[in-house]
Amino acid sequence: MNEHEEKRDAQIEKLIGQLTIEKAPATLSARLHRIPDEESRRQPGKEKRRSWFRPGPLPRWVLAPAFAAVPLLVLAIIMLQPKQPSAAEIEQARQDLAIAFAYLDKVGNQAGHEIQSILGTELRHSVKEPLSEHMPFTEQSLKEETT
Amino acid sequence: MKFSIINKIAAACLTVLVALPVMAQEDALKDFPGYVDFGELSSVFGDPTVQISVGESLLGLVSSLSASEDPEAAELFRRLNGVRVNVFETESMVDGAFDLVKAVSASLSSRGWESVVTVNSDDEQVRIFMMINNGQVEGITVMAVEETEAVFVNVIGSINPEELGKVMENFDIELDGNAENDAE
Repeated sequence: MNEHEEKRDAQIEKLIGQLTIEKAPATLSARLHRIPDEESRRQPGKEKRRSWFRPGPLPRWVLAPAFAAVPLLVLAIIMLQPKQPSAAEIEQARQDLAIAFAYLDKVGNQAGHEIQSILGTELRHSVKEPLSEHMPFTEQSLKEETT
Repeated sequence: MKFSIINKIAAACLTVLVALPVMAQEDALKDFPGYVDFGELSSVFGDPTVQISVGESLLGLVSSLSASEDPEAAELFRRLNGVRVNVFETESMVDGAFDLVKAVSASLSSRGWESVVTVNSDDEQVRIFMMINNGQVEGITVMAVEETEAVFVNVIGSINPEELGKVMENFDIELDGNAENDAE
């Protein structure tokens, strides 16, 4: 800084020191204070958004769960989307169905054999006993034939 | 400390989110009249040796993919809502299994299921139930308990037994590597 500049700065400071603070007229102050209200009435949506994004100072612990919830929400949305099964899953389902029907078949066959054998035994008894009772010769003749 | 609590909450939320689709599928099947709640099978038998649960969406896809290959099976799968199979080993707990079959059978009868087949022998119990509404079969439930295993099958959906028989004939699956017994 040269001598000329120093001199000029000193003059400016001296002039600033001589300035006095003048009070604004009351009407002007009132008018200036009304400006924010008028602006907010003119653009209500804008004011609303501002209140959302600038909620004021919040404690830090309130923000932590909020940040944690964002990825969870994203994950939930992704998982609740209707999922298209892959080719491997469809093939697995096919095999599962084949096994399921094989079990149905197996149980059906077992039950069928059981019913057949019970029916066969019961029918044999129910036919043979009355015959033997009323026609004893059938037993006798059978024995003779076998001997 | 604060972060550990947040982590725990996040882990719990994740677990719930992962379980949601499975629970949703089971819940969706519960609404059908052909659905049967076999109760706490695992608490009686332990872990199942075979556990199958095929839902409506997969059945629909299998149906559309099988249309050209096996039209009868495709038509059957198209009208099914779900197929569930649980197979358990019953060694040393056959009596418990017999009791469970009796309890479930009583519950099914009281809920309007029709008993189609009942086999009560010393070493085997078989129950086949059908849910019939307006002449239409809406569900089949099969319970079979023998010395070595217990089989619980629940087929949910509109079923034509004749069609089901034809489709079963087309499947060539060996169970327990005992094909001869299965084929008998």
